[in-house]
Amino acid sequence: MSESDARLMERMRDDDGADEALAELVHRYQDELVGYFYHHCWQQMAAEELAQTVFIKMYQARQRWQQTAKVRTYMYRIAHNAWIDYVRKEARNKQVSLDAERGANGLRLVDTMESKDSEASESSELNIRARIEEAVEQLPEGQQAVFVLANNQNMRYQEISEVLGIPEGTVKSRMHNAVRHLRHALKDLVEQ
Amino acid sequence: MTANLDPLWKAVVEGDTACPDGEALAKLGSLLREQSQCKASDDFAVRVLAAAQSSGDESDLIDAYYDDGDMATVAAADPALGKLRKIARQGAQPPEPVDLLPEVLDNLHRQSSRHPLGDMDKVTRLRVWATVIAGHAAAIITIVILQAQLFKDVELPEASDYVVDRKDPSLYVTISSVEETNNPEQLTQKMSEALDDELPLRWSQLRDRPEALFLLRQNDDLKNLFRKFYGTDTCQATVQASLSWLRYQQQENGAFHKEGEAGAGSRALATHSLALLALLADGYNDYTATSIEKAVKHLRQWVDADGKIVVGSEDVLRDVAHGMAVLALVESAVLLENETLFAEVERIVNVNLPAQRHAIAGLDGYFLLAVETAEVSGMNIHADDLASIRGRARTGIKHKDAGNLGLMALTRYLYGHRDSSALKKQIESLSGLLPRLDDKHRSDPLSWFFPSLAFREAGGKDWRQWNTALQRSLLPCFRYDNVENVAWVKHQQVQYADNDVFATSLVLLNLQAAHRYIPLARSH
Repeated sequence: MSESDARLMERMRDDDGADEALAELVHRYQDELVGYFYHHCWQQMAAEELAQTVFIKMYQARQRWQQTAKVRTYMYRIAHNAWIDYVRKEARNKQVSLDAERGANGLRLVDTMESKDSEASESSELNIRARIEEAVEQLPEGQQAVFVLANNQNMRYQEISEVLGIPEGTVKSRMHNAVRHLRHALKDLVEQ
Repeated sequence: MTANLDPLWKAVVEGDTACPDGEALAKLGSLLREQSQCKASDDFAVRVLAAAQSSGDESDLIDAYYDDGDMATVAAADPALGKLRKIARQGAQPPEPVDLLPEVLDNLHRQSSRHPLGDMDKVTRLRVWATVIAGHAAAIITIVILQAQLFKDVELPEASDYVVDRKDPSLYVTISSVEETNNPEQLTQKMSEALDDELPLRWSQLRDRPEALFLLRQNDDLKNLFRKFYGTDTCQATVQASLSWLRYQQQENGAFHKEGEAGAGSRALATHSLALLALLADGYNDYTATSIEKAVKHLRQWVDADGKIVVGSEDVLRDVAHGMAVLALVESAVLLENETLFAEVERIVNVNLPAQRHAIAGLDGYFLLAVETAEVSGMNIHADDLASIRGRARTGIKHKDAGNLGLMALTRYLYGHRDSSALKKQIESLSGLLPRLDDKHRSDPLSWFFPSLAFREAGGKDWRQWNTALQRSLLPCFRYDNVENVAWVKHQQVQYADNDVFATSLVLLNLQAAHRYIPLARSH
């Protein structure tokens, strides 16, 4: 029988079993945590880097963790803060990006290369993924955060409210709006 | 009400034309009232009620579905809700399997090994450093002794059956399958001895030993051993003749082309950087030193006072040239072991890095290699920029051509994801994109560079297959001058090339893949 998350956190506090407990925690949550970040940034490696940051922060703050806090909620609070930091840094860096200078016709060498199988690679699965990505990205940040936690991480409103630090009523209204928007944006996919 | 006394208000609202422009204002008021009328007010009220009703129903369903966990019932009542949940979850699945543990532990280990030093008092810190320096000195002495012994008992295969016949370059394609006749474990063992350590699983493990990354370039014996092992010794004469040709092309000012011959702006920058990279791949030695130093000096002319690389205005090569230039500078800084240059290049990398963060990865892989090399060599690279460019390189690629697939595969090797199923698929896909000339008999070394590096890591049958096809495609492109003993590639035979230095250098980079970097360990 696998150990509870709380027990793992306790073991992480002991010098002897810390690495093993961390390893178990990583194995237990790495997929869903990377999935959480992936749904925000749509880049696997960035998602992996962010997820790593969360585990490292959990490890570093293991002595401060209190047993009353549910580990998963605690982890997602760290994750949410990590994501906010990431977005802020990205926004700052965008100001010095040369992308803007490229312009719509700023072709690069890679663009001029013939991509022999690029058409074939545009399978319907990729198209659907791109549609979802686009639709989710159109959501306001607050709605996106609520939707991802509810839809992908199976969290109830109460838990989401704890993770994001907002009232449950706000979670509810954001969720309603997010679902309505997505249903509309992906109408052909969800109602076929 | 005071409003009633206002002539303007009276004109607009009541249609009183007494005030100046009264008629026009009255008409405006009338027009606005007309247009703001709801044409079917009854329907509107019904619609609002219906919307409120359905909105309430929908909200209840959403709450029941997501918060009450009553999924089956809700999905039966509103299948679209269930479907939305399913496809949104599918869309959030990262494309590749995840294994964070090695990186997490590696990061923690690095952090924990850093912090205690900062907490120590001066005497203890001095003692620690003295021990570290003594340890390094001992390691260097051990390496020197081991290298002296290294090749005594290595059984190299017989000289390959490759025949140098400058009149018929097609004969250059007889590839010796050295790897089959040599013992990979023995080679790995020799490398470990030379390193005084195990082969690294990923580049980050070399962080404190930058010299190890270029060990094969700087050590002629190891370089030759690897050329034989990977079957690139067969084209060594051509590679050396081409390097000679590049040196002949170099001008007094360090440029590898005369003014204007390599095009303008970033095309010239790319040409110069590629030529320098080709020389650097042979190592910084008596043969290349002068050329490299002059070339570096010339390359620095493209760097402005802020450290930013300034390229021509609009040019399709701009970004690739940018990456090539930074890579050439970083490798130069590491190989020349010049502290001033090292510090300057560290600044250049950090200044230019943010510009790459939002680029599509593609062939910006040159920049990625530059950054990773800088990181290994001990340069202080901004962590966020580093994370971002790494992310782009691995997942920001949409085209599945050889260049992009090769870059994705290479990054997985560099980051220690050798066992990744995605990597296996990429190598499989690349095996179906083996080098061959196009309809106009042109090669595509720009696209083949990253796959060549990736296949070198893959080794075995995959490498042999790629290497054979690569040499069959590239070697016939060479022209030879028997008097000067030089070789070069005409740009008409290389895609995307518009001058011979560019074409020759790019082809060379592919043929030097076997000894460019230290190999990574094949198993944990």
